[in-house]
Amino acid sequence: MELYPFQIEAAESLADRTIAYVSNPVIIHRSAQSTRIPFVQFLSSITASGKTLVLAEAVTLIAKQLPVPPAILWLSKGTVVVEQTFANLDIGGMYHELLQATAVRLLGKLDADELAALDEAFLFFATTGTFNRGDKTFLKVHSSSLDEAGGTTLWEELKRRPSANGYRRPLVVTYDEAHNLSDQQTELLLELEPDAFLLATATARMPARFNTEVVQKLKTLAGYIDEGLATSVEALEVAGTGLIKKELELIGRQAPTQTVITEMLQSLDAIAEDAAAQGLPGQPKAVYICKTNVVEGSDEKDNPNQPFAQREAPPILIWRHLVETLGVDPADIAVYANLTVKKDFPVPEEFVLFSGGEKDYDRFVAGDYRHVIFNKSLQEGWDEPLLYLAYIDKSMGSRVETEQVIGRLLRQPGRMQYPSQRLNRAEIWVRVESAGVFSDVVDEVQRKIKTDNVPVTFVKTPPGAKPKTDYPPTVECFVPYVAVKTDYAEERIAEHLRTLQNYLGRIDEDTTGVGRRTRVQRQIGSNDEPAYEWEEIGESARVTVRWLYGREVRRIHPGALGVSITSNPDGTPSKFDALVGLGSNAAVHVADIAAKVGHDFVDRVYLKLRKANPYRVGPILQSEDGLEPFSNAVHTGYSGLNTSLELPFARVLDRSGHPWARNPSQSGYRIPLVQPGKTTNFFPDFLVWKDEEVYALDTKGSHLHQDAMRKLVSIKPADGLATRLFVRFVSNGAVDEAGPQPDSSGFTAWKFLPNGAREFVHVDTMDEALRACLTPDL
Amino acid sequence: MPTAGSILVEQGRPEKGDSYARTLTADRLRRVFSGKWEAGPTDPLPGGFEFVRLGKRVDAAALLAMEREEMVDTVIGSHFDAKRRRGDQLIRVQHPERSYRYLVARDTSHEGFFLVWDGADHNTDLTEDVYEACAEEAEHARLKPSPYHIYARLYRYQTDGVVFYQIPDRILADFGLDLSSEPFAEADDP
Repeated sequence: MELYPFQIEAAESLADRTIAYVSNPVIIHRSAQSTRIPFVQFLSSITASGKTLVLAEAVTLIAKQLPVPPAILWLSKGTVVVEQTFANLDIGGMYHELLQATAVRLLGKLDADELAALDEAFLFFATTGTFNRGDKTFLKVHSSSLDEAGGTTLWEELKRRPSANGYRRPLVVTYDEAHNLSDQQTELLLELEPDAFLLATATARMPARFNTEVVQKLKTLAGYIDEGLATSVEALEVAGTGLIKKELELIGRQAPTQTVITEMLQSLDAIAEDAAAQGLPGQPKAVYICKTNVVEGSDEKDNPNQPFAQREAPPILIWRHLVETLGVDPADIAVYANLTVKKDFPVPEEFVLFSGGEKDYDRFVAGDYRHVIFNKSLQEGWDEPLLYLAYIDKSMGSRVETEQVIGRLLRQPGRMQYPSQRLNRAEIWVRVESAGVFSDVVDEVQRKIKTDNVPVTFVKTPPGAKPKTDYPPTVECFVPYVAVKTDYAEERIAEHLRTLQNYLGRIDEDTTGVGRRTRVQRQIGSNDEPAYEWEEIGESARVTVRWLYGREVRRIHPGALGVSITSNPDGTPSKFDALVGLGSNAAVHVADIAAKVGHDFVDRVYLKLRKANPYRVGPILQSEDGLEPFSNAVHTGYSGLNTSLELPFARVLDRSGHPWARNPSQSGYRIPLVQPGKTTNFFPDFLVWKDEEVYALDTKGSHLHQDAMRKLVSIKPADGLATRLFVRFVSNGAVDEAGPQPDSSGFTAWKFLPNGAREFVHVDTMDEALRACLTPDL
Repeated sequence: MPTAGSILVEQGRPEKGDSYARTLTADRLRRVFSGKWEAGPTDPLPGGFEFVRLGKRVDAAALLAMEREEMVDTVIGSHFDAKRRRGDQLIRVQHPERSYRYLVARDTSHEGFFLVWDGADHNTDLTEDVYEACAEEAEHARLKPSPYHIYARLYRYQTDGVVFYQIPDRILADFGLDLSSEPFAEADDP
């Protein structure tokens, strides 16, 4: 699994800051005792941005830089989350390769002898289920019989956490839902004397105890300010990846449950059809969130002492409608709720119920159910990217919080956008009793999107309106894709690699991490009554030049790694096999070379059309409301064009008589833009076919000058292919190389001069601008 | 007709000394097929087994010296797609009437796997011509037009719908090499 540059950056920020502090911590000496203030880094990032990955990468980087392999205590709130995370990080899991040489265990399986025997980092999982027993909150240790960890042998062993060489292992505590941390848990965790906390949450929401014991002390005694304690991920960075869905449609329905579900299932079928055609890694799924043991539409208890067919609990009604009316195979439906079932009135054999058994979550995930009927409590933590649709009952008596489900729907399967728009968006179907309730739900959802800074387009379809539908193309139209050629960059990259110093076999001051001495504790007392003394030891772990080079190049452009040879053709050791310390002079040199390689790649690659596998214009998903019909367009009409530039330009285009299409953003035809940081794709607004040429046209408000300069690219034709592709822009007013000009009349067409320089043609009308656009480059 | 099946019995943790594979399991299997037990002979079962030790280290030198056929087996063996939970196996693609230059396998969802490797002295890079040839082969074999999984030494034509696997880096990583701390090859005299 490759991390995105923003994920690497966040992980490094967490790790670098933690290591910097651990090398020089605040230690308070009080008579014979000395206490160290633990460090904290808060990670703030939106759902689906890969929090788990970032935390896993951060703990790996920390482990590499500590002289004693650490213990990591990984906390999650619900059992569901911890099982999922554990499965991902354990051997064979999706993220395990990130952790590399780290042993992964459930906390219940902690064994001090194993800790003392193996010279590798250990990661322990635990849940922080909170139970109110009297006034006390307990820390529940997952998969062990202990409800209360404090004072147990296991807890004592975690406190001692021996390493192979007599040191106490540094302890890093991570918590992926840290806003749930309580004062009591803080207290318990501080007993362990951790070195650092990595907490995924915003700082503001920490419990008082954590603020006084950790945050305030770091501020007053070590001079930290808020910024130094928090690492945040820009929501826009996440939006630029394939990690999250692009659009969320909220569809209100004032109809019986059954009617809403019937309609929703049609949508699921359409999504499933596209998913199968476009190779989604699995079947799209729907979730139905409802109350459990009540009579539908009331607060009255459903009577479990009656035959199945007579029961009125919503999960049963939904299940029966799916199976009996809509013909869904019962093997595709799971009911994950604490539904009461009496022995004398059993549910049918094919009714798959998970009501809180120990292995439920594993069985549930293994079952890969397409339809999941959930109750509210279980919705948190089930992160299934294939989840596309949610049904929520907001009718009388239901208190399901719509905004809670948003996060569950945002993950994008396969970490990529698909040509079908349906596969890049999610729908929430809400059953309401009045239009007023629907607008409340709309407000709730909008507020949630705003507070959490979720980069998603929000679409609402009130009761009575039709949701977005597919408009198929009326003719077959193709556009060749654009590829990136590297030949012009290769020699320069090879030259940089030749200047890379050879550190093979060198263990000296250049290859040794400097300023990385770390304070660790040596155990001096017995195992029963351990005491510790501080020692300053260490040198960071050594890493291969290859890994370091790869990491640094990826920050600028991963494509440059594809043209970097880091191994000798005869398999003998190359300078990339050398081991150097993180933070050493050698590491700085490697980073420097990597940066040159990355920048030369970005500056010197060029775009060329591809002959095979062209883009074929597909159906367009749009709303019927405000649809404007066109006679020369590939689709019968378009809705949602902006009235300032797009709509008037579309009318001019249509008049020109050439076949043309509106190109949907994110799922349509794209042109790669190679630039530092990442390759973004440019989705031009319109495609026009004229003679052998295709024109990619984009209307640009003149304020978007910078953006347009970046996107106006010239593309070389493919060998043996007559089609050529030209990118053109139309802006309002006069525009030139420097930006918008005072003359705001007319329009400017952007194109290329024969010498390859940009040309700005200022004309009076849109028709003239279009004519200027539709001429090929020389 | 009996079918040829095989079972792999993996040795536990030799570093902990539990070498039961050699001392117990192998011996018992041998007796199953020979029928010679301590307690007296039994009818021997048809079939047999082979005790194989994975002795050869897969390292960069071995990989880069491979001939095409050997590399094909290695690629198929090493492929592990973390994106899919089911861990689908690759299926060798061969055509009775023509031999593919690059296409070697497909997965269960009909995505093609290609190897650009004619031995170390020939082209080993993914170039424009290679991409076009892969596209032709994929179409001929009725595989999806996207994505193509392509193993090559250099990625010189970077385009949509290609998943690039660098030789030997990716293969070594898939065999469990930790890229951050383990060199591809050890210096003789560090």
